Amino acid sequence: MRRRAIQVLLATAFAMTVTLPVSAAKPRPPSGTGYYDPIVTAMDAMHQEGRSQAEVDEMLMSDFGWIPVVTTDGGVATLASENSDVDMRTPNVYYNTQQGRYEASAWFYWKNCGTQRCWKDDRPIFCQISNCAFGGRDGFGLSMGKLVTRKTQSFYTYTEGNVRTAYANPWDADDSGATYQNQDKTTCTNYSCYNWDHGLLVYSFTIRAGCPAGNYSIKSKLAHTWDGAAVSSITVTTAGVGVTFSGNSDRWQAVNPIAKNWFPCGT
Amino acid sequence: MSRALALLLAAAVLAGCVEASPEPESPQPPPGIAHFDDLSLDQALAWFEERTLECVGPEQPFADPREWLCTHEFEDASKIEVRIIADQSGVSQLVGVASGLDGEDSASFLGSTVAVLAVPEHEREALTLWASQHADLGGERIVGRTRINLQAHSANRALMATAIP
Repeated sequence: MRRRAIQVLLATAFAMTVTLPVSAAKPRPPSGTGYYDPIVTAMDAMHQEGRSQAEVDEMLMSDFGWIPVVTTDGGVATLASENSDVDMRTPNVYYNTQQGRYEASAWFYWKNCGTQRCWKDDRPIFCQISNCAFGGRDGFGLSMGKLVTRKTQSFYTYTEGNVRTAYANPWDADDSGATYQNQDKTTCTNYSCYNWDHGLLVYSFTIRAGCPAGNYSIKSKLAHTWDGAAVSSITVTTAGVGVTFSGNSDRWQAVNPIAKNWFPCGT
Repeated sequence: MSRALALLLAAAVLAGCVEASPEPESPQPPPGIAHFDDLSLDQALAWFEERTLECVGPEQPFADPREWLCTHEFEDASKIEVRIIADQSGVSQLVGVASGLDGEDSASFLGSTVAVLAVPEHEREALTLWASQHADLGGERIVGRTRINLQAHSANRALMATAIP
């Protein structure tokens, strides 16, 4: 179920069309029959070969910068991700024998929607050939259910081709966990090389003196924005990761559905 | 013969009396259905949707129970789902199923994501631990006004939380 409606103005303008030409992708004049010749030829060839509509859509986007637009009965175009498009994997905890501390890790992974990565539903309609920011900053954090003694933390995001970005400074970090925020964007042409395709946060800690009993439940949260929304703050407490947004409602939060329950000091 | 006829007549009169009884003016909730304390349908849907499950069901609850289904399928094809049984008075049952997950993840999902919704805050940690300890063999327990039934199988594990009067 795709819920987000892009701007009504755009929806109205393109309600009668199936695909939306993006002038930035190939700066040809959008008039004259010559412009369409290679496009319809390519489309026809793929149909003749029995290729699927998804493959045709992919070709139109990569070769000509055409983005498929889905229209509802009311003529309002919908094109957006949902938090179910992300796998928030169960966090893990390890004991680091070399450093004498625990390491809690949490991953998020964007899933595939058909033949494309689901984040492509949030790509900006008009942008430069590369470096297309998806709204404002996104955020990711890991929380511990009980206070520990923090040692350090690291956060890395990766493109779909596994190009890594490391982030030096957390937005928030204390004895209950750590959070980060940064700009998600595509870094190659044709809306590819999305730098937040998947990510890993590692939080290093030791158990506090006296080994307080109870559940040190480890949870993570991803906050994603696009178009006119942004993460303005992402903080952590033992209750979890809290996010505040700015801008409009083009955003969601995702918590891992399977928490890591951990009782290192008994119940 | 006359005695049998009298009995038949009496039965007919009784049946007529029953048929003549006035119908209730508005439908009553089905008898015997209890609801969880402090848990509305909207709260349950919001809880699972924030945890990346996609929920489908009627737009609004009815006077009698209906079902909402929330699911998330991971890229490795393992799957978690929850069925929420609710009516206008609240949520009466939660049924969680974990497919293709290992015992620990299944127990964590069923205990700390599904079952905790149906019990008071102060019972949640103990319930999470109980689900973890019973992941392989299953079990049943009553927490307040909620009956928790955990079923363990090799591939699928399920948990049913039912409100009891």
